[in-house]
Amino acid sequence: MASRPLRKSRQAQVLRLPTSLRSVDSRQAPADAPELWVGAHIQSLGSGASLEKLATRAQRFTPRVSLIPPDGLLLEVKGSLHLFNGIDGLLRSFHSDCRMLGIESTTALAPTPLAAQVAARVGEPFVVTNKAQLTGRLTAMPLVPLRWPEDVVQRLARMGVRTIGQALRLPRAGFARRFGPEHLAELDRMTGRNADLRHHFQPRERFRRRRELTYEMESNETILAALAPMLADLGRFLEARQVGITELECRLRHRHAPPSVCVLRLAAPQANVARLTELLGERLNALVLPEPVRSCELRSGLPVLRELSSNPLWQPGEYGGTAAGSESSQLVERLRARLGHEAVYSLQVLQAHRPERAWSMQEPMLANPRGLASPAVNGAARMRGTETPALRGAGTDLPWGSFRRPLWLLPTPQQLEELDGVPRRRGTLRFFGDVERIETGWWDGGEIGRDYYTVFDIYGVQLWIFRERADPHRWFLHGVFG
Amino acid sequence: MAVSSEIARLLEHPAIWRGTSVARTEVLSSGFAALDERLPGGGWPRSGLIEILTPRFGVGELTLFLPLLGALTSAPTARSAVWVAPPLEPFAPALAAHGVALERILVVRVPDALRSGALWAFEQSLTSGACDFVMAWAKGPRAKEIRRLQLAAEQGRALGVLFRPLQAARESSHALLRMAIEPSAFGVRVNLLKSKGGVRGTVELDLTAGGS
Amino acid sequence: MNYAELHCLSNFTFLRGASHPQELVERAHTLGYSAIAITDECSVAGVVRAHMAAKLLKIKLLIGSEFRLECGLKLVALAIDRRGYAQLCRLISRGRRAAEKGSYSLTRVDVTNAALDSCFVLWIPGNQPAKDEAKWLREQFGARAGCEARIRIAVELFRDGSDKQRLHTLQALGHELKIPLVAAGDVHMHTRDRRRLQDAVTAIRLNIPIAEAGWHLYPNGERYLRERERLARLYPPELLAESVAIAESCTFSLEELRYEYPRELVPDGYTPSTYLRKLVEEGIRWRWPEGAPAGTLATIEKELNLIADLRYEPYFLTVQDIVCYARSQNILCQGRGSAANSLVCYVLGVSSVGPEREAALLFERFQFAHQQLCRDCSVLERGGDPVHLLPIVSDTRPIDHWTAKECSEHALAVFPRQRV
Repeated sequence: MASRPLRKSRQAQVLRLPTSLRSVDSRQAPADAPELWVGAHIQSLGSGASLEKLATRAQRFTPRVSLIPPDGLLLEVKGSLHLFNGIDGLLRSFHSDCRMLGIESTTALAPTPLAAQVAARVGEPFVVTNKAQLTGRLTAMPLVPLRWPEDVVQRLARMGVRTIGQALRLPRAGFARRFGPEHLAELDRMTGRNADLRHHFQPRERFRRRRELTYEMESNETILAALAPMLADLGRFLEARQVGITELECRLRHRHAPPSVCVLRLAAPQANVARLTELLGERLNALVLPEPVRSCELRSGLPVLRELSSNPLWQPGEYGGTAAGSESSQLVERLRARLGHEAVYSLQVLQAHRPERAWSMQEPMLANPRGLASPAVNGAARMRGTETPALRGAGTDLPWGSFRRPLWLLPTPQQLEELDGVPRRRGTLRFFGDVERIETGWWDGGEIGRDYYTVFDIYGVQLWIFRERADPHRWFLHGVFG
Repeated sequence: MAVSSEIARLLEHPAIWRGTSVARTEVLSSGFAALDERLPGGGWPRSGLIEILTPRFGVGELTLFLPLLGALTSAPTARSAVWVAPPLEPFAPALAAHGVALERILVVRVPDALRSGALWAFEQSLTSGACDFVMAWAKGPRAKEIRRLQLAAEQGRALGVLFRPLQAARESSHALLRMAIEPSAFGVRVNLLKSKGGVRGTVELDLTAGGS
Repeated sequence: MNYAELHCLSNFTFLRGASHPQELVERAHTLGYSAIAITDECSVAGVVRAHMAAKLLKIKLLIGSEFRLECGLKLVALAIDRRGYAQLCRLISRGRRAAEKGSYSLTRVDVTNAALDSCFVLWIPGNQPAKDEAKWLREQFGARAGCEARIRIAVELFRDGSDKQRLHTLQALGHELKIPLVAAGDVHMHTRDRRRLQDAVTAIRLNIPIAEAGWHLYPNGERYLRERERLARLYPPELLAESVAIAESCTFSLEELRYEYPRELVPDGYTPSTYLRKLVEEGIRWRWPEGAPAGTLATIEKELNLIADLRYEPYFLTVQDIVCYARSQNILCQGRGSAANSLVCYVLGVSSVGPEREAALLFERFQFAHQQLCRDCSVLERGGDPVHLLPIVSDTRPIDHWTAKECSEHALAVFPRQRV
């Protein structure tokens, strides 16, 4: 009986908001707050251009950009006018952006989004900043740009209603009854009688650009030059969002061979195009292309909010910030760009008795205090903190063995040749010190039973060897003391 | 010798080597008193290139640098300690037991296909300014390359150690220090082949007292 | 080469030992050890089973306990004689009382206060043997005027790469401080194959997955009862001989333990036997005012003889005493247990089971149940307040003599405490 309410609440907890609601909403705008909307009507799209591209580009003017597919765009610009030289300046900039993208558009400015949209569709110059004047300016506009269903427009026409002004003069209740309350609501929103809430455009998060090359390219320099405009785009993309990326993939396609991919992974989020270009150039240099390149594509990883890198507030050394932090991350990035991501790593000790499991690679911890250590690269077990066992007893002292380990370990133990059961390596081996028996690891299939010995070979090199406890009792070389 | 403070500051530039007095260059103790006595200034140079020549791998050459590695990585203002193209895996538990701070270690692996990759990585690490100490195992760099490495080390204020086979002793070198290491009964025998301002000759070092 | 294992944990050291006490004893016997000690951590819980197995196989059993003091000092105390056993138990009780259930806490002061002058003390050095620990132990248990030194340094070698060095270090220490060395095994399991189980219980104890247990697990399975030939290769002969010598000096056996009941039960001028008979006669007159049937009287006589043989009069007097007192306080009570089915109990008023109820058969059960081990009696009361009874009982009788335990809300089981 008591369990049923529990199940319900668990269900309630699992409930998640649908994704559409997660986008930023202008719900917070009160109804009488002054807004100014630029409506853009796209007349033609050039090749490679798209509404999303324009919307993305338009985000530099304001974060409140809305898409009205297939050919409408809305920007709320009241707060941005002073940054872009007023209305004229902003519209001019917008148009030049459109031109750059190969888009032809007409724009209009109005206090409500719907009015701006409709006016833009009409195509005539329309700039209204005062709500009071809006209705007046809308009066003469035809109903067509409202894009109402054909039969509604026809019926209105039969009543002699062809302009917005005429529609507005019709009695409200009757209009709603005959043509639907939704159209009445639209008129209300257009005149500003009711609020018009718009969802803001959320650009697709990752950056992706592809370019077919006009001719096949072979040399790295030309490929990099071909990538330059896409990299510039990437820069703007990141700048607009104030984000950086930690991963950039460049895909080069060939005629027959499978695509060549090179991936750049960065230690810290990066938005600097020059730096990305430099690193990508290094990566490309290391790449061997099987055939000439016909197209190139850039894809970014998920953007990350980046910290303000050029912080004039404090100098390196003050308050713990070090210049070395950025230098060492740069060094790591540079090395990785040329040699590969896995080629540079740091080390950590794991608490395990099996020698090969007693260490693992680790993401380099750069001198940046904000850096976080990431989990071990290879999946070896990791010891939890320093827990004190409930009952005093076994094995909490550090195992004696750690202090007598060789400085070098072979990646895999190397079998030694034997003579009458005695191991040899470049001659006889002289045994020294004590045997160390390690038998453990039965729980994960890596069980070992080994007796370890320290030996010297005829040249005086100190080696770490072991003998298997199980048949056939082979001898192996595992480490060099160095 | 009294000099004005400006000239004194100027003379501290690492690219300026003063012929007679080497006391001005900062040195780091090797951890072995007998070796310190023989090294110019009484220890390893703070920056520059050292060549270590060995008849084969594993005669004790790494143990020789363990005290230095431990001291450098544990210092509060420590920069990175880089291992470029080491022949085997540096074994973390042993390093930690000898007092090396593992977070400061960077291992750089060079794919064989990449020609002179190790030397490139060595130079990059030395010159970056991000490293205190860089060790590299590289096949036969030429004299010109060694000179570049020496300059890179000075520029980045790093100490670079290049491990090479003993045959390279015949070649001339621009490195600051050159030493040949051989195993001896209880440790190593160090033969100082070249040391600016230091004492040439051999010294025996007991390595057993250190670790265990 | 003879050997006696002096440091051994059974699975009564929860989640550390991996073998039953009887398995350890059997294995020691198979290996031809001259003796084996069961030394669970701050406990002697495992010795009973070990004792029974040892008795069967005729191998000598030593009783002791391992302790780890708050300062980190680890030692094993082995009881030499009955007095030593008492001292050991007192130390265990002290440690257990000073901490929550399931753990214990002891300091050097506790060890000093416990005297332990009838115990051997083995020092178990840590990875880095601390000289000050040894010195302190020598002060406590070293040779004194008229007193043999009872302190030993336990040398325990496990092929962990440090054997030679450890032996050398401990030999030097022993020589300097004049403490003899003895070989021991820190045994956690009777055979090698229990290694996996021992790893598993370690992980359980620490509440972590075994893959994350790291250095908490032993690196190898050497902590088992090893063959004597193997030990001879590992330890110098004098260390092995010392283990045998210590074992021979310890003479305590669990056989020596028995209960002693408080003397105050019996008024002056009576012995337990005569007093019991007096009470029984009074009881007969009470139960059968017109006289008891002859068969009943014969049974009662038989029972009294049996009680006299086993020397168990105090037990019945104890129970009668409690019941009498409870009744005087209008506390409902009833005797239970096999003893209570006897006629003696019936006439004493401890039980209400009359002769019509096959009392004879049940009393024989009592006789066979007796094993010279602990004997208790429960006194149940319904409707009464157990908490109320306890202080009263303790007021009239010193609490040392009773141990009261609440079996349920309304019942109180009273056990005469073992007097050691």
